Amino acid sequence: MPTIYLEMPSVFWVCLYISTISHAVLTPIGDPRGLQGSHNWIESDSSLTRDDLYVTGNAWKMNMTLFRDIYDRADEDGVISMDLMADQAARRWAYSVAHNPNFYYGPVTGMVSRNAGYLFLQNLLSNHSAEHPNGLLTQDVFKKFFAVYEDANGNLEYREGHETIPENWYRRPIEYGLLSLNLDIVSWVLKHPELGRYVMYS
Amino acid sequence: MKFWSTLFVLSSSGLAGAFPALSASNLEGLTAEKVQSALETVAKYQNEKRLVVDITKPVQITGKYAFQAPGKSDQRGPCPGLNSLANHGYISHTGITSFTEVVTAINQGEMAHFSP
Repeated sequence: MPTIYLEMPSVFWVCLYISTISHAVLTPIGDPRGLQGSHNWIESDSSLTRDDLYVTGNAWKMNMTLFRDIYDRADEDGVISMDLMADQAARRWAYSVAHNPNFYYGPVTGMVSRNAGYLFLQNLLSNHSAEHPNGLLTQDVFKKFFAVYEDANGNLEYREGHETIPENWYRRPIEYGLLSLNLDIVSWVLKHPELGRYVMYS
Repeated sequence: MKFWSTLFVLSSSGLAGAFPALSASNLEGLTAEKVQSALETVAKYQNEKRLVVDITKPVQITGKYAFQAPGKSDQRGPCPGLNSLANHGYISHTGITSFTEVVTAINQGEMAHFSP
């Protein structure tokens, strides 16, 4: 299979995200188009909590089994660490290789874009309070941002589209730019070399 | 020129299955000028909004930013970040937003810095 490498400027990542959203305004007729339909451009396979597009046909609705697979691995304080996230990234990759004959994991949409989804959760959506200036991703924060509601008996329920911002949630004070993102990706690839492999139609 | 020829090759090749977003119909309306103008707006917003954000306070989720569940006609996509912003009124509750609104919300509101 030929390797296709797309050259993009360094702000490609954010710009692409925004330009896809802007289709909602720029398309004068027809339904607004958002992130759906962006497979292998912004959306990628082997996501943390979503299925692969060509396996189930639905890559946007959360799969509770996948959610629980990482949620239940939190430590005794309910914290999901960077290490845990890296291991889960590798686990989900291996799962896609084994179960998705159309698995695509390219140098940009795979190694960079797909892992950025995991890293954004870990680094941007974690709570950067004064006690944890580097961000702390707890089960509670994870649940809130992923639209999972817990009842009095501890049962978890996913309500699609009902994501919330947690209470007393502080944003990240310093930029998480392309340099930081790439450094994190490199550290993950060092730990799990398969995340640096190019996969097309495994 | 390189931009357009690359797009043409990709959208007309057999890769459309792997990259449906690069098929001709999805790329309609996307031009290099639009991308450039997006970058310029981000730069301008960053200059204007940077001083306004108070990172020592938790993100406000009370009052006009209180959570409101989406209604039947409100659109929500696959992204928890954007969905939560829409549910809290940082971007339009209908889920249909404009470029300027979403950049303001993500940058000022809460989740990321953008730098061109």
